Amino acid sequence: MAKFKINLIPGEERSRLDLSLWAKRLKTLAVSLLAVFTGLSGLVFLQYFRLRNDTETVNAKIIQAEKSILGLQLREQDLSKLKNRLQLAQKIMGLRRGNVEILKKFDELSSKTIIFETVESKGKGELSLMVTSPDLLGLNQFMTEISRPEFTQNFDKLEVSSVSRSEDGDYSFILDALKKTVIKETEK
Amino acid sequence: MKINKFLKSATVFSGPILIIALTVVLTFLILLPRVRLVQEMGSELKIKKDRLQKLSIKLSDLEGIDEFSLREKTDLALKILPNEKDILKPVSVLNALAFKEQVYLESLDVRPGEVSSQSATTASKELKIESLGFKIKTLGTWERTLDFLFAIEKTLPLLNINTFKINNSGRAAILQIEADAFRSPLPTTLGKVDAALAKLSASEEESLSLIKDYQEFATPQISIELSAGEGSVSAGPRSSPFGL
Repeated sequence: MAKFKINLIPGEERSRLDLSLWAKRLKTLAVSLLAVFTGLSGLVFLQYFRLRNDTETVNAKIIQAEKSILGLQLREQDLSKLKNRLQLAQKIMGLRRGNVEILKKFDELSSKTIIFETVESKGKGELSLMVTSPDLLGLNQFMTEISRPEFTQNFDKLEVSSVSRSEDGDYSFILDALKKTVIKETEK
Repeated sequence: MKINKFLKSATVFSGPILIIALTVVLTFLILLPRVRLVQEMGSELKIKKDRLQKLSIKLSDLEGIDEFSLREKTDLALKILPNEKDILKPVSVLNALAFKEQVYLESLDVRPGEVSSQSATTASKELKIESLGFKIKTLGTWERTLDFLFAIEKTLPLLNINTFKINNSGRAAILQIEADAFRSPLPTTLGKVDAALAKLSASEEESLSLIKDYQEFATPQISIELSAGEGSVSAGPRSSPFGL
């Protein structure tokens, strides 16, 4: 069934009502905007004052902390000097060749009859020794000691030349040693 | 009629339109600049808070340091290597060490002209180290010579043995050493106030504990002869304590 809609309001009255409706909408929009603006302004100003207050507090704390740090400057200077010297010490100790330590190891393993006739440190971790002994037994004992795996593992090269016997009856050989870590360092 | 209608409409709409226009103008004139200001203040405050945090950490670190212990460690560390070129110190240390280990210091030759060794300068460009080369010749028993040799690298200020040669006859051993002494200037400036405190690393602590065991000698009175023109300093030979 078809529906009929008949507007019985006169044209003039209708346009007046339309105008009033638009005016009402515009008023609502204006009031809403004003409310939003007021609300936002309030929030922004509140935040502004809060931040200003916080900044002042933080600034005061910073000044206080800086003063305290400056009061402890002597400690900082001491620590800086200490660190500097230790860093340098590490560098200097890192330059050491380690040849003295190798000699120490050989000396610890030698018996009383063993004489290191000449000892010469060459490159980093390299040592050449001429070992002499009046008896073959002492020399053999020393060679056995230095041939142990727990000792040889510290070296990349541990070379013993042929044993010779001098006119006065002493036995001697030349021992060339190269510390293992040196090779690893150069490989890097 | 039309004019009447327009006037009526204008009266009705002018109020809300004025409010909207005012709101827009005020937004651009007051609100937006304030929003920007608040944003800037917020980021600035964040930076300041970070700075304050750094300062607080540094302050608490500094306050946590035992001043006495630090002073003791620093005094020891300053003995590691001198600040200024000091020829006398390594010479006196070696002389004292030779005396202690009972070896006869046959000759000691220092070359002050040699400012830095290749190895020292290449290994430490950022931390300037200058080395001072010297040669020593000693005479003593094998055991004493070894003790002397081992002790050299365990003294303060630090000394590094570059090369050594021992000729041992069984009764006496002649030791020839080429070694380096070092110097480095102390840091003159500190970092920024809010820069983090440079604490000691574990390896540095380890080095410090190692160095604590090193021997140090007070500068004794020794006779030093300056050989004119050669730029070298040498300690003259003295009578052997062994009567060799």
